[in-house]
Amino acid sequence: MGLLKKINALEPLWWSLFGLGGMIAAFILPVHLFLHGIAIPMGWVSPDLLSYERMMSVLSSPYGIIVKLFLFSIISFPLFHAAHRIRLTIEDLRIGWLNTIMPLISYGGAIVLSVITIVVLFYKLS
Amino acid sequence: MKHTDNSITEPTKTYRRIMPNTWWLKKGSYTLFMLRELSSVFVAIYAIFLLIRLCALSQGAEIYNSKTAIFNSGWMIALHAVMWVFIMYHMITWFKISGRIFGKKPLSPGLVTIANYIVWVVVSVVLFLIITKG
Amino acid sequence: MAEEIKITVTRYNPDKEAELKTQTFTIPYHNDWSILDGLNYIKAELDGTLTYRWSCRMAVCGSCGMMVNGTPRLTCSTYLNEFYPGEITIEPLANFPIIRDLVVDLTDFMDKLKEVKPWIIRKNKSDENDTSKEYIQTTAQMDKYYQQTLCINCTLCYAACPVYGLHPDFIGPAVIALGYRYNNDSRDQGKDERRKFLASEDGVWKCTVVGDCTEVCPKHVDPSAVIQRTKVDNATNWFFSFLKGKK
Ligand code: FES
Repeated sequence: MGLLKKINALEPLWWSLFGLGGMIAAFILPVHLFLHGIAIPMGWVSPDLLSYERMMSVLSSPYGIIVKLFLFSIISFPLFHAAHRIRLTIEDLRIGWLNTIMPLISYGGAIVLSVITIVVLFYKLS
Repeated sequence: MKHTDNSITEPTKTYRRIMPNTWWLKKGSYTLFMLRELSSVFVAIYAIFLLIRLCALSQGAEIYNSKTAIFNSGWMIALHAVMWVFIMYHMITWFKISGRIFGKKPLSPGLVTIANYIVWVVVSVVLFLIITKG
Repeated sequence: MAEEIKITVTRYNPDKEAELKTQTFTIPYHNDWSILDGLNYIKAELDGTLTYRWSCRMAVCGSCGMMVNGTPRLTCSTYLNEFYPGEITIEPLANFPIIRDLVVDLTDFMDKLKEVKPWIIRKNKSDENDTSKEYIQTTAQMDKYYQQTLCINCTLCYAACPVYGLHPDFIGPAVIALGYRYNNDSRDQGKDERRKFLASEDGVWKCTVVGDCTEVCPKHVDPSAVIQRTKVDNATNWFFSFLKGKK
């Protein structure tokens, strides 16, 4: 219970991350998802854009670090955005048993996935 | 008659209405709110998809190509189309709310929302060009 | 044959019934009658036991709020002609306990209102009673909070807020808006004092921006926006005190 109290005390932090992630999701994800999830797979734009060779060459180019930071920010912050929203929605839906541990699951999940993203981007792919 | 005891004004037996768990289906605005909240699930799924692609990338060409084949399949494209609709809805509601928050005098909510859309268009075009041509 | 309109009202008598009932009245339709006029007609001509609150009849006192066809409205400034020839259903304001018929218990709201200290607070307490001092305020300074001074405590926003309905401990729209009103008054110095309440667990963070409070507000106080601004303010304050090593 002590841990949950501590998580709740960090509300300003979770809310700020929620806001930042929501902003990134609003400004960047529409075009990003459209390209990577729809246009490229459909072949409307060059399908080679996501080929293994091109991806690796982009990530190891001098701009690679910028691309990596960009990828980190469009993965990690939107995860915190979703974590906060889902947690509050579970509260509003009054799913009692889930309710109490939700802060732990959602923010914990976002933290774990963000750490994995850092490891993959800056360690495995370097 | 004189009321010297003011507890007489305090209700003794009030009736409490309990909100049903389906409260968000009772009103159009509540349902739209729930759909907006649901958009965050798709935001999370998309972020996880990106992470899966990166993991595959770090495991070599073979694994990456097989994962890409899954992402290129018809049902995955359909799923992404649904996700895109929800993320667009997130964007619309987000800009509307940010207009309200930051549209204080001398600005106005409408002005801030329009500014958001202008930035959004610029960001989208620039990103489109960088990703496809860069 | 004069035109008529049907009004269905919630009935509840705490001494006799355990459940809510409804009762339908048919009243004469007049183009310029408000819903409150209709209720007054029922009370005067049809059933004197019908209980409801009202006072000013001009959207100032904030006591005549009820659910009109499911939406919280001031009945004195909502007109029959908006619904005619359809029927009208009147219920007591949602999310509050019902005392009798259309009258709800506002104790919870009143308690929260007191707690946000909706008055000017000075660091130097003797300032508050010192009438010799002048506090000059520019129009621009007044613009910062003027919109929120218009609140008439009608609690329509509480009836519109599902978060308040689900979590009755939530401080709620109007009280936060009034906290904002004083926090943004250049004469006031009580922001930190109010923060303990506004940024508490049941404060601004509970709000999920459904936005209906703003939609129903008869005075355009826009609680939804100022709650978010209060969040921004509290988050900024939190980071600064974190950097200063206070947290
Ligand atoms: S009677 Fe005063 S606001 Fe309606």
